[in-house]
Amino acid sequence: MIRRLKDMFSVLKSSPGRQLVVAYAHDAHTLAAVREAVSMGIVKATLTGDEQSIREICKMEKIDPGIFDFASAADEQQAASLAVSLVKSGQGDLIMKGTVSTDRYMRAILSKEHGILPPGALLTHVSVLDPVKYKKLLIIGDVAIIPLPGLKEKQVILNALISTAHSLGIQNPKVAVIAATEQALPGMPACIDAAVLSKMAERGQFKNAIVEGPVALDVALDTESAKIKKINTPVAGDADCLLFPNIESGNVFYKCHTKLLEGDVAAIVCGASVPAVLSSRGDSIRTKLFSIALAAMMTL
Amino acid sequence: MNQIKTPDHPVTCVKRNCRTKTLTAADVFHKGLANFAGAELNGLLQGRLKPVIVMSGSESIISKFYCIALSVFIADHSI
Repeated sequence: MIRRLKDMFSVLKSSPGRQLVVAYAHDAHTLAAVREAVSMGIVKATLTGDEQSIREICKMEKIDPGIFDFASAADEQQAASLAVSLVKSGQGDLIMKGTVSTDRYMRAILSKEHGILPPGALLTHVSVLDPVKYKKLLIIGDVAIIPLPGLKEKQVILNALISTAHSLGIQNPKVAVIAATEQALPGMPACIDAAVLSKMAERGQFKNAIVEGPVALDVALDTESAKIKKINTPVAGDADCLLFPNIESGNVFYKCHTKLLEGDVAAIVCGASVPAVLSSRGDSIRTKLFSIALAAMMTL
Repeated sequence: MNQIKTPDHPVTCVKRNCRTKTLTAADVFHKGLANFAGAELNGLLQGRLKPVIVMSGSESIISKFYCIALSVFIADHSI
């Protein structure tokens, strides 16, 4: 079982050979992260974009371009489309966003004709946090893609959280469906959705996971809070996964972790035919590297 | 981060008052700080004639103490 994000590296080194395709790898942070991943033997990498420009950035950053394969594309849009088509034709197992805009990257993935979204599938963002003050990894969603998920979307997010946990070796993850209170209050849709998901889990609709909701964040993370509130569930104070009711609450938690606690994080987009890394311009080399590793873990 | 995203606003990185969009987001922020980041917090209900303390049962003793202190401070300084 993966207990810290860095533990992923040793697992991945023992099963090399997957191919990462990077869409428009025109920035130093992305190239440095991919260089690290290639050097560690986690992935082989194909970079799409203007080869000459990428080689110049490599030279400035003292990165050996010989460790990469190149697929030339004239501009951002072409680079994104090329990256997706390489994956679709079986020449890539993972895809990563370079400096192409998120709009263009997502449009290429979602393209009905040339994209890599299976019919009826929904993309959702999953983050794995390595908290400074919590005993284990926390898998959370959706903090970046689905703004206000309904019950149907929450099932998709929940399944993505569970499958990410399984990929990290957590066999029976404990999922807290977050709301502002533990009561199923009719006036608060987050509470009602959480109660329904919890009941669905009780009836076996989510395999190999314990799902509990509604649960406020203090109960999910802190055993003492659960004791005081008299909430008796195996998820209390021991959650592996947190399902947030909307993008704001998830995003606030994510950024508390990264900006206030300076904790490590890995993030991927689930739902496409391969795991996708959707890194932000603001992400560090370390975060990008962890995200590549997480995407690779999903392919094992 | 503010340099990377280049927002042109004086609030960037010196924010002391945060207004969150939903109750759940605010609750997650509050409980995230208290139960995840190890921060001590205080809070009170405003809009009545006098400050009203409404706390969660699971708040720490020190947070409850800070709430009382904040309420006294607000009561003393309200016009």
